[in-house]
This record gives sequence, C-alpha cells and structure tokens, in this order.
Amino acid sequence: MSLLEVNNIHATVAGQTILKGLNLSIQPGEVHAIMGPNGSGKSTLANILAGRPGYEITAGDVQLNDESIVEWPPHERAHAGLFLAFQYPVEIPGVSNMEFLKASVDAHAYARDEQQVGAAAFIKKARQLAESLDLNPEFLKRGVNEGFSGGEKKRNEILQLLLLEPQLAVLDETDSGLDIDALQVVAEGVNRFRNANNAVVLVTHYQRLLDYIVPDFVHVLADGKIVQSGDKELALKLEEKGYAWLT
Amino acid sequence: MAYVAAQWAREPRAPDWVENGDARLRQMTQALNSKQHKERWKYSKVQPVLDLIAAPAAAPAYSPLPEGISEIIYPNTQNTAPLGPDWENAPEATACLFYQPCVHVLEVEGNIESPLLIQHHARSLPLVIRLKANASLDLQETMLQDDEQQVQTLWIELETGARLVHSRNIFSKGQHWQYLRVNVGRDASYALHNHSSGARLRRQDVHICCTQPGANAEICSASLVDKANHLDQQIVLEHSAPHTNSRQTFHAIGNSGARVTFNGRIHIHKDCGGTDATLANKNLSLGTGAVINTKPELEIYTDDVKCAHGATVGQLDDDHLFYCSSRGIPAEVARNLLSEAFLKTCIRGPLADDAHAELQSQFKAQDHA
Repeated sequence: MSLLEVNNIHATVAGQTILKGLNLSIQPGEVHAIMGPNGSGKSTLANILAGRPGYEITAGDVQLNDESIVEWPPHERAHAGLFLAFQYPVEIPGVSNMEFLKASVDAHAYARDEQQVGAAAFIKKARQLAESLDLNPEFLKRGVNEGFSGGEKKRNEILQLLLLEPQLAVLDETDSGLDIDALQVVAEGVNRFRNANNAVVLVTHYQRLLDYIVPDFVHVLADGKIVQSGDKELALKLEEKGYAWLT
Repeated sequence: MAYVAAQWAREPRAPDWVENGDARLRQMTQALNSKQHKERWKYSKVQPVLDLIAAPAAAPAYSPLPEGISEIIYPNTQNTAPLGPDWENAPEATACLFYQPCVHVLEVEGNIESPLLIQHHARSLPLVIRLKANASLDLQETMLQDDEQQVQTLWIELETGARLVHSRNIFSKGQHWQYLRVNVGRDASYALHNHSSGARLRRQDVHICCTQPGANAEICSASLVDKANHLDQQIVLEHSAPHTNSRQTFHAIGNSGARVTFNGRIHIHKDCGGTDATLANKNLSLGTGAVINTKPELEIYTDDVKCAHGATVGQLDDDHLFYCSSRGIPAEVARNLLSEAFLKTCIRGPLADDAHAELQSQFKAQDHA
C-alpha cells in the first residue's frame, strides 16, 4: 500500500492552471525530492497536498493511505498524518508558540481519541526539542514566529514536525534563506524524523540540501508535470546542467 | 414634563430631576444640541443614558482604604461641588455631578502599595480621585455583572509627578454608561487598561487632558462585542501643554449582529510644541451582520508635533487560519485562538488574568450558541 498516491492531478490557482497531469507514488520510508525551475508548480503541489484554500483540484485524485483526501479540510489532512513545512511561515502575534504547539498536539490527540499530554510534560518536551534544534527555548514564549529570523522560522517548522510526528512531511523550500549551519541543523532534524513508517517530500531549488538529506528519488517538475525521475545522481546532473535540457 | 430641546429628532424626555426653567437644564440642553454632541450621540440613543443619570445612586464599594487615602463626602450643591462644571465638554457627566446628592472624593498621598479596589453596583454616585504631588496608586475597577442598569462617573486629577495605573473590567450585559475624566499634571503619568464586553447598551466616554509639560497618558483597550450587543467608545485626548505624550491602542471584535462604534479624537492646542501622540483603533468583524463604525480624528493647532492615527476594520487573516489548520487545529478553534490573540495584545495590567478568563468564557459560549 502506498502512503501517498497522486493520480493525474490538474490544479488551478486564481483561475490559472498550474498542475497539468501530475503523478507521484510514495511508499513508507522514502524521501522524494521535487526540483524544477521557477513557476513549474512545486509549491502548488505542496499546497494542494495540504489543502490550502484557493488551490483547486480540477481533475485527478490524491490518496493518503488509500483514502482520497481531496475533499478533506486541511486540519483533517493533518490528523491523517500530513504535514506541510511552509516556505514562508507566518507570524501570529498574540498566540504564543507554546500555546500554538499545545493546541496542535491536543487537536491531534482529540482526533485520535487519545489522552492529551499534560502541560508540564509537554513544555519539557517542547523545550528539549527547541534546544536540540539550536532554537532558544525562551522563544517558545513569544508569538508564533514573531521576531524570528528566517532561519529560526525554519527551525520552528522542524520543531513542529518533530512534535507532531506525521506520516508524510512535505517540506516546501525549507532550505531557502538558510545559512550553511542552519541548513545542517534543519537537515539533522529531518533525518531524525525519518523512519521506516514515514516519508518526506522535499521541495527544493538546490542540490545542496540533498547533501544532507539524501533522497531515494529525485523528480523534476516542469510546466505542471513530472518530466524526469531518477535517484540522487539526477540532482547532481541538474546542478551541473540546469533544467534546459529537460524542457 | 420638560423637554430637553425641540431640535432633538425624537424630543428626548428630560430626566425627572430636571425642573422646568432650571438654568442648568438650559445649559445641558444647549450643549447636547451642539454639533459636537449630536455627533457624539449619533450611534447611541441619548435618552436611556439621561434616564440612567436621573435614577437614585449609591456609593460604590471600596476595598478598605489603604493608609494614605482619605475619603471626603461633599454635599453636592453648586457651592460645594469639588469640581467646576464642564457643560461644554461633558454635559451628561456635569449633570451627574450637580444633580446627585453628594460626591465622594478620595485624596491620595504618597506611594500606595496596596491596590485600591472599587466595585460598582447599579448606579454609582460621582467619584473624584485626586492624587497629590508624587503620589502613586494602582486603581482597579470592576462591577457586578447582574445589574441591569449601571452608571459611573469618575473624575481623576493627577498633580505634579503623580502616577496612576487604572484597570477596569466591564462585562455586564444590561444598560451601562460610564464617564471618565482625567487631568494629567506636570510630569504625571496615567495608564488605563480597559477590558470590556458589549452590552444591551454600553457607552464609554473618556476624556483625558494632558494639562502640564511632561504629562503622559496611555490607553490600552480590548473589547469583545457579542451577538446583537452594543459598544460605543467616545474618546478625547487633549494636549493643552507642550512636551506631553499619549499612546492609545483600541482593539475590538464585533461578532454577528454586534454594533461597535469608536470615535477617538486627539486634540493638540496652540503652543503645544513637542507633543507626541498616537492613536490606533483595530477592529475585527466576525460572522455576518456586524456593524463597525470607526472615526479616528486629529485636531492640531501647533506645527512642531508628532502625531499619528489610524483605524482598520478587517477579518481574520486567511494565512493565519491556514497555518493553524495545517497543524490540525480545526477552523472554529483556530478562529477563537486568533480572535483571542487579537484582543490579548491589548489586555494588560493587574486585571489581565480575570479579563482573559472572562473573554475566554465568552468565546466558549459562542461555540456552544
């Protein structure tokens, strides 16, 4: 059984067709890198998977664990095990990071009919994770991403990933805006997350992220569909030759 | 039966305490019929407030007065009233001062470490609080929530170097009119933390005057106005001396069918150079049918000042909602979380925890409505 099956997806944003027949199959334990030139539809794919309003699927289907999620609201997709790490995480003044994280974890527990984690244990775990990602635990008292640098926002995304432990993590250009040290910290967090039961989709422009998170598959997206797939060698080839030879 | 003025569209009835031909009635009538006050009462009916002013009042309940605070009760005739009339700026409040049988005056000296707690019930007699030079006080006002009709007029004077932190939580649901006047003296400092809900009628008049150089005033206000409830905030901040500062931030949420009005005016008089004043009013309109009127105003008669004002009416940010839902937080919970956050940035001071709890319970009540 596939963890994720994307079947011949067509999708529009603001009336413009972006995805034009995209297929993708992901098994547990795999890491897939999605690369491609600007405007090829990489971020649209990430948002379509997460169910962002305004991103409309006009044909095709997306199945998570053999269930179609096309009609599901974003929070139900999250409960089913899907996680999107944002390219540009928003700042939410007034909602503390800790409060936000606890609300997220509680919502997952409620959906699974599980016992909520006690506040003290939760705070301890969140602080430990923050420290492990080189993120000042005091930042957890601030508003969500409020006053965070670009790198801190991305590390905060990985903190959420590690807390929520989804089945499928979609990382939308998580490497953008990161210096090399931050990139290593983020990559280490993603590698810590990986196991035989979950999977990762890495949307990225650059091969350098794949030095730290080694993909099983690399796909090139161009004009709304996957035009080439291969292993990590494909990423090296793209780094050398660019995308022109594929389109 | 007397009538306030023929010009009033609905010819509001004068309160029972007004006698025909009374000079003070004429003064109030004249003031209320001015352009300024007609504008002030554009979004609230004046008659219920006049009726509230008219009803018998009682002294509010205080916590035991800490050492350094003394209470004086003035019989309230024109000769003994502790404050001069201000028919022009505050006709209703002045009427309260003159027509209620007495005025309670609290005089504060020194640094008062214990907070002064005031609990209002129903209609309160006018109250004057005077902070002597270099005095400081933490004033906390609450009110019984069950009372159907409530009135308060509070007049505060801060002498040189005095400091007052004033917090008030107002969550009753009946008819409520509240007037607050603060005169801030030289190098004195006044901070108001105002937390409120809407009500069948809730009218908050606030008039703060920075009267001497170095005076500083701050207002931070958070309000949640529920279905079919009303809130009308009329705020004036006057700078009548050079080198004075003010900061005002008002956040309000209007739910379905709520009626929210904000009119905030910064008035900088002549020869008040070096004044620095800001006013921000932000409103969230949630659900359908909420009506939000907002009008921030500047009236500036001096060149060398810094002054900014702004108002917004909007809805919850779609990107914030999606971020929450992408983390598994259901849309309704996310809306409450973000709405609370919007108000939380303006909930401060010693009554903040109580205000949080009350507003949270109101958000939860909406969920179950």
